[in-house]
Amino acid sequence: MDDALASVHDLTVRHGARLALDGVTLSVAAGERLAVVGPNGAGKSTLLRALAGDLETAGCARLGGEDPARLPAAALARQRAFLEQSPACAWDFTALEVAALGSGPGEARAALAALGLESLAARRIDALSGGEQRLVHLARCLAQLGDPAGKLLLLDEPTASLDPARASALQAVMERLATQGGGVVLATHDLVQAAACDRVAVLSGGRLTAIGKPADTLVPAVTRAAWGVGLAVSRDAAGRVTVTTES
Amino acid sequence: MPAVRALALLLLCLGAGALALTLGRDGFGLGDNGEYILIRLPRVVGALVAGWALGTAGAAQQGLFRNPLADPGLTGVFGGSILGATLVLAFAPDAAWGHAWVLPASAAAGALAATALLLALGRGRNTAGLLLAGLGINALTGAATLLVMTWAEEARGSITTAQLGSWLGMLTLEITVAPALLGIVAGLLILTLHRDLDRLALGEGAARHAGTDTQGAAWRAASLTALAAGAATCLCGQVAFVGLLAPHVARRLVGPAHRWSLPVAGLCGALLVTVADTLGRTVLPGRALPASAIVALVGAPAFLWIARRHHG
Repeated sequence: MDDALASVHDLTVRHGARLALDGVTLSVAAGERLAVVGPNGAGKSTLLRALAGDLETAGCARLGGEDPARLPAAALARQRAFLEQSPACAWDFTALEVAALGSGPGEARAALAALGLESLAARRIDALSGGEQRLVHLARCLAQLGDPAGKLLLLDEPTASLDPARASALQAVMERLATQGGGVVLATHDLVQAAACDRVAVLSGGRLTAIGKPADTLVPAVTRAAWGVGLAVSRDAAGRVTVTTES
Repeated sequence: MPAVRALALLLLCLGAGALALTLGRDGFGLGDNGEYILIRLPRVVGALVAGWALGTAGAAQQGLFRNPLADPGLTGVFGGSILGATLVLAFAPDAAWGHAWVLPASAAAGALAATALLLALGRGRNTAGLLLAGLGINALTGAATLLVMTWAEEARGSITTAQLGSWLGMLTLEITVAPALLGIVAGLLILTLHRDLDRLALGEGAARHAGTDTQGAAWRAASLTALAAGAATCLCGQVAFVGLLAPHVARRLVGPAHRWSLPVAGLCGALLVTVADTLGRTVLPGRALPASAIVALVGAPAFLWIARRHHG
C-alpha cells in the first residue's frame, strides 16, 4: 500500500449516529481505474470525500503518502481533482470560465477540447444541458490536474444525466488519464461503467464486501448481498459489457 | 471616450449645487469662488470613494455569499459600522474628531463585528437565511445605537445624520483623508480576491477542491468588506443599495467573472453615489436631499425586481 497513489486503511467514518464507513481498507495505484459501487447510502461518496481530504480521518486516508486533510488546499489541488455529485455554479460564467476555475485558460481550452466541448466554450453555463454542464465541470477537473501522472481524479456519479455518447467519451478520458499515469476513483451506480474499470470495490452498509477485477466482484453472490438482486456482468470478445439479472 | 465623459461628469458634480462654480471668460475658473472648491472637493471625493468602496464591497459580499441580494446595508454590516462610530462619538468625542483614524477605525471595527456575526449566522444559508440574519443584526445594532444615543445627547445630531446618509455634506478635507484612503485601499485589496471569489461560485466544497483556502478567503473578503463599509460610513453615512445595485450593473456590463466585475462595480458605485449626491443638492433649490434617499429611490425597486427575478 505504501506505493499506492491513494489509500484508506481501516477507515471508519460516522455521520452522527450513523456509521457511514466501517473499517474500509483499499488503495488505488498510478495508472489504475478503481470503480466503487454499492447501493444508495453504502458510503461511496464518503469514501471519495475522505480521499479528497474533506474529512478528518486521523491519518487513515493517505494521498501521495500524506494525510490529505492536513494538506493546504492549494497543495491538495495539485494532487487530486474531485468532480462532485452535483456540481453547481452560482454565477452565469461561460463554459471556458468554469473550466478555468482550477487552472488557467490554456489548460481549460485543452480540457474542453479533450472532451469535444470546444464549441461550448463561449456559451453561458446556465444555457447548457445538465449533461453538458457536468462535462464542463469535468473539464475543470482535468485542467486542474494538468499532467495527470501521479495524480488522482475522483469522480462521484459522473455519468448521471450523460447520454451514451457522452458517457463513452468520459470512459475514454478515464482510460487516457490512466495510461498517462494518473489514478481514477469512480463512484457509480452504472455497472457497465464499473465493469470497464481495472478493479471494482463493492460497498454495502459502509463495509467493503468485495474488491478485485470486475469479473470477480460483479458476480451474483456479491451483488445479491449488496443490492438484494443477483446481477452478473460479462464482457464479450469485442469488449461489449452486458449486465444480466439472475432469474 | 469614457475617460473624457467621466472627467466632464466629475467637473459637473464639482460645479453643480447651491454654490455653483461658473464657466467664465477665464475658463472653468475658481475666480472669486475659489473657497467653494474646499467645500465641494471633499464632498465629491467622499462620494466617489464611498461609492467605490461600497461597489467593491457589495460585489465581494455577493461573491462570498453566492447571493445577488447580499448588500452591506441589508446584511447588517452598515448597522455594525454605525454602531461602532456611535460608540466612539458618544463616549470619546474628542478622540473621534481629534484624531483622523479614530472614527474610521471604530466604524470598521463595528462593521467587522457585524460581519463576523453574519458569517456565523448566514454563511451556507439560502437567501432567506442570509437576509434574516442581516435583519436580526440590523435590529440588534439599531437597538444598541438607539440606546447609546439616549445616553449621549450631544452625539445625537451626528449619529442621526450618519443614519440618514447625510454625512457627505459635513465633510471637510481634514476628516475626509483618512476614510478616503481606507476606502480606496480596501477596495483595491478586494480586487485581489477575484480568483477566490470566482471559485466560491462553485460552492465551498468545490472551491476548496479547486485550490482555494475557503476559510481564509472568507475572512479576507469579510474583513475587507467591513473596512470598505466602515470607510464609506465615515464618508457619507448609511447609504444602502449601492452595494446591491453596482455589482448587478457591473455583471450586466462585463459578465460575472470577478476579475472585471469587481473593479467595474467599484466604478459604478462611485458614479452612482456621486450623481445621487449631485442630484440631491441640485434638484430642489435651497433644499439638499441626502444621497441615500436618491439611491434608495432607484435601489428599492431594483431590489424588489432582483428578488422577484431570482426567487420569484
